[in-house]
Amino acid sequence: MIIAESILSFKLHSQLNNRQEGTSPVDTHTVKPMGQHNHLRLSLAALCFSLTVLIEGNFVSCSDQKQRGNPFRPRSHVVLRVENYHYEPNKKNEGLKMVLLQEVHEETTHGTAPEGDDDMTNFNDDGANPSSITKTSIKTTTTQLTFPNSLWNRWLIRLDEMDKLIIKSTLPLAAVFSIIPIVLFADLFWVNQLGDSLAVAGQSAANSVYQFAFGLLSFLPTVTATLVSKNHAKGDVEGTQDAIAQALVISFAISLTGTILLLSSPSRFLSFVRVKGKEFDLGRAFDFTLSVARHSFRFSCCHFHFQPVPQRKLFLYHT
Amino acid sequence: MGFSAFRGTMDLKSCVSISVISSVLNMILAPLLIHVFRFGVAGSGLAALTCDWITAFSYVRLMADRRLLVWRKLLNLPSWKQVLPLLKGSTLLLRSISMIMTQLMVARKIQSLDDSGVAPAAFALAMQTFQMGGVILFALGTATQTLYPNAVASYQGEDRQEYRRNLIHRLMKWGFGLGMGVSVVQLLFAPGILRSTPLAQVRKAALFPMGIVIAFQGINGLVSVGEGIVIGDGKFTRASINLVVASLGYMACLQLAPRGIGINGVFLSLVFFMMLRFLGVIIHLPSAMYSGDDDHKIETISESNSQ
Repeated sequence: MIIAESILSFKLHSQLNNRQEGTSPVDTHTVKPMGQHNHLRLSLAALCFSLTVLIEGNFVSCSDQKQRGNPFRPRSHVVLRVENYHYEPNKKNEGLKMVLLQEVHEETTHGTAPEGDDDMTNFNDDGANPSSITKTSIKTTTTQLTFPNSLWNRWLIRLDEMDKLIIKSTLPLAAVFSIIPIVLFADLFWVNQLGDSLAVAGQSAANSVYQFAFGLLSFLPTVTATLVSKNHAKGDVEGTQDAIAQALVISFAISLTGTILLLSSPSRFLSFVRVKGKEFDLGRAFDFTLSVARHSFRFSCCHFHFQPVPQRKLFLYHT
Repeated sequence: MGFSAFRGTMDLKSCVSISVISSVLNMILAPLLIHVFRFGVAGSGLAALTCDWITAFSYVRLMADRRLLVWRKLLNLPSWKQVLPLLKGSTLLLRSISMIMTQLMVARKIQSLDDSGVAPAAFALAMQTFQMGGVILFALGTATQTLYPNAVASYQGEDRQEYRRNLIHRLMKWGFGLGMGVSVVQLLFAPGILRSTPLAQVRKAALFPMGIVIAFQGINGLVSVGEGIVIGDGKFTRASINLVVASLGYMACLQLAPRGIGINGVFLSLVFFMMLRFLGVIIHLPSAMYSGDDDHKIETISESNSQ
């Protein structure tokens, strides 16, 4: 796929350079006369891509090595059930006392039982190892701890397991959502270094159209997450797999349709970012979106992507 | 889709790892492709596209390893009953369209207010204030969409209702508390944000909008959590209707606001928008907390999926 993309880029650049007429000092930075250097660039770029894919794939396989080959095994061991949680203030005002009565940990593993492990293991009546074993451990603890009555400690020990569950679910997502504007800013910074305001404008317009298109598809992940969470919480393996497979098939179909629409009439989508009464060169936007669409006819896991190219360095071309 | 699947299984560690790695790769590849390999602006898109492909590949591989994704099920066309829950969820598309149309209308209104650029600049400052810390409220709302059904489904019968009520109370407290915390942080950073522009006119124009944004973060937190509960409950149509009605109210206010008010009218309309969404959340919550019919609906959705 990546090599095919490199070939497409190669074709596009060759067409661009064959048709270019008159270059400014700024233009020469981004568009060079065709030569052996471009072949080398594209080859190096393809090598770069392949290396990144290999590194990422290796990382993924290493981090998940224990899971490979195993049957379905949920990774999450979050305690979802919280019982008898409370705190009570100490009457003598020496501090708050935390009393934890019971925690129920449910850990479900599916697979053949290890040899010699007879504790809390369910066997069939004929003594044969079943295909799935459920281990449930119930831990009962009674703990009394007294803390000094400082404001921070008083706040901290008020956090029970339910609060910790909420924090554990929220903070990772906050980290992920915080990264997005940082990446966008970095992208914008490097494009700004080109010294061409059209490039920035083109990237901004392409991002707007992309966000619009992505927003139209954004209901699918939300619905999928809800359905998967319900089935997964019940331990319904088939239901979880079905929900994911169906979501992937539907999103594949929708994104393919969207890609075809973008390829066929990009100007229609660009008209959304035009403001009445303001100057906006739709022709330029049309051209770069055209090149964008032809650069990126593919889609990655159900969303399509744009690569902005300034129109000034492009000409209408026909493939 | 992979991100959502792992969110649904409450495995957020994988999501964060893959997102961080992909983002770091993007930041490394972008300057290489733009300047070193001299692809120009196309390099920016190529870098992002490559990272998206890598992310997709990683998610698919992880899902396949953990048997969340079974390849033969991709080849089987789903039955109508299996697809029905997803199609019901497509009503959320109305929600997405409403948000997009609202943003477009606001952008057009702001641009039409004046030609000097003061209103758009003041708007940008106010939105920058809003986004500072606002991401954590958005994260809380998104986490609620999976945390709530996941936690509630682990209980049965009467325990479920009691736990549901406790969880809703706790989540709403967290929403409001975090919102107020974000307000305090934004208030502390407001002078710094105002100083980012040298123009006194822009600072003066941005004062009221920033005040509105800071004052209503508590309501924003409640709305984020409340809508997460509505979606987590499977009430996709209700969530969409809530936002569509709020968006229509917002756009009506934008049209009716006198031109003399300027940018303040836009943010007063924003207050109306948030209050309409909050009203929708309040209308739904009692039914979520006290009705027992939802259990039957949850069972029906999972049964139709398993058939």
